[in-house]
Amino acid sequence: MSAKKGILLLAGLLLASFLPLLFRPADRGGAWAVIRVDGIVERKIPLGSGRDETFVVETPQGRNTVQVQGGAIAVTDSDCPDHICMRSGTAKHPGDVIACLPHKLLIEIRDAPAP
Amino acid sequence: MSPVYRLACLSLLVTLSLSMFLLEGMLPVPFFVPGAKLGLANLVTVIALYSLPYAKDVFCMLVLRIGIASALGGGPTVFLYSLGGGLLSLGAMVWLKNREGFSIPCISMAGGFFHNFGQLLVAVLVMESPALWFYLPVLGGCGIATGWLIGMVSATVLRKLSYTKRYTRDR
Repeated sequence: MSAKKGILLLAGLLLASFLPLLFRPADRGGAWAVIRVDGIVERKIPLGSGRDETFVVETPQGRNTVQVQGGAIAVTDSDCPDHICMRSGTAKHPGDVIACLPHKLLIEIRDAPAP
Repeated sequence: MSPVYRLACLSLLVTLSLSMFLLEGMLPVPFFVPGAKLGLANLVTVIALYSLPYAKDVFCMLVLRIGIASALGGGPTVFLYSLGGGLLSLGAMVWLKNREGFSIPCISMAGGFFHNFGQLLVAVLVMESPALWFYLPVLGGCGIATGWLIGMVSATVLRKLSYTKRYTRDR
């Protein structure tokens, strides 16, 4: 019966893993990138405007270079120790998140600019 | 198990898991998933769970390892994330081990999942952003896979060393 219990456990864990997908907002176009540092909104950028830009976000812990290009946003450079934010790639669909935990920087894609 | 024997065992296991942790830090990241790791240090946790007589000894070992590892490099933030993942993972594994019918890879698989779940939980609380939960499908899946692998290796190591038997007798 050990194998059966193991498969049940696996199924339960997989189910728990995919649970957040149910709460993913629908992609209705007009996505906004909301950049927060330590919980405070730093910038809100409409991704559908077609304007490309690159800027630096200064945080008390360090700096991140953020690039907006072709309706997608990415962290292209960071002086954090793990570089997880850079390796996260680009975000463009509502629900996508890029986090730089050491700098407490968070880029969330939302389907509306608020809150 | 005499106090001296227990102290020696715990010290060796802490050292071993610390070496594993530091070794893993030197390896290039094998995954393209942000934040996912193999969890080599958890290999020692699983082996300790099956070779030490009491779960509280494993708890001791884990907290010491996380504390020393964070002091060597990482700092308070890393300490918080490691502790969140490590304790939830150990809790889940101890709970499952006390129930009949779960193999070592299965228990380690749950441990891997809850390790990443715990780290994500700490991240959600620290960053105050529930949106981070959208990482769970990838991180949870990775935890299941790496946990299972670590469990397979642990089971092999335990069989080769036949630790389980020896410790039960010493108890």
